[in-house]
Amino acid sequence: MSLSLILSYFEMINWHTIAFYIISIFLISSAVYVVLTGNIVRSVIALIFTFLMTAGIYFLLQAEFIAVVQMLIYAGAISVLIVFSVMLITDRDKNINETSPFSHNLFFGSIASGLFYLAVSITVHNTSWNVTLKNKEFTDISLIARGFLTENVIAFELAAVLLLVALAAAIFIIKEVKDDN
Amino acid sequence: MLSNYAIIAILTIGGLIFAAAAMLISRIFQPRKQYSKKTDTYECGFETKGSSWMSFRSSYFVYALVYLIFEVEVIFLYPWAVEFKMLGLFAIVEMIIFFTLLIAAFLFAWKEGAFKWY
Repeated sequence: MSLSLILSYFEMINWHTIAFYIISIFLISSAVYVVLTGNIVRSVIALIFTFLMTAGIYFLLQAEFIAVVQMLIYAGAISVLIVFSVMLITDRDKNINETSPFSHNLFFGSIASGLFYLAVSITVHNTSWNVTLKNKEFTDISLIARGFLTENVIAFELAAVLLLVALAAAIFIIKEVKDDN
Repeated sequence: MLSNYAIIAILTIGGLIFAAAAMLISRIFQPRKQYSKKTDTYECGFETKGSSWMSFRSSYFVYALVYLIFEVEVIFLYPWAVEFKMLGLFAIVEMIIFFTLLIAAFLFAWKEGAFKWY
């Protein structure tokens, strides 16, 4: 069998769909694991994996910048933040499904998540998804720059203010903890 | 295009096979004699004291938060630098305001002694 024949077989396979299904399976199963596992540390590690798989979905959609942001901010920084807040907990080896006060309310929990699912489904259904891969401007980095530096500049500056407030709040809480000790 | 990611996929699969092969080979050849020292927590050769599942210092949280702030800053710098010539003076002023707010947060953390280790 010649090499070109093998290559032509490879071209017939829809790799995009295969990659999407592989990433989706990993994404959904790790997200389910985050909720179902009793160990909070394992839950965090699975959450980081979920963030990375979401970045994979963004790569498949050819939104490279968003994917890199997802990897750096969520999988890099936010996960470190969550890990540190988990490390502040003393009883990490306890089963969170038993100790969490939210775990016992199965009735209200199902209603709340059901309503959330309904809201998301309605939004997905009613949105006109006319942004497709042929619209190259969607992934254009300069378009993103023009977006947040001209039209949405207030939101951009508010992001800085939000970070400032978050840091100030964290410092005040930690000072209180330090004073107590 | 998307086919450029094929090389990344091949590297990922290769890396997975390499790691799996290393674990498999060591599993085949390793001696399996269990004794109590083997299951100990390793702590630079010292005897471990107490549980390792203790509460960490709350100061770590501020470090993570400061890291987050500067990472967000770097992320926003990249598209700004790409579009720098087109946007002109207005963008520079905006970036300076953005920077000033974040550096103010950093200086505030510094002033409040968030980086002190005591």
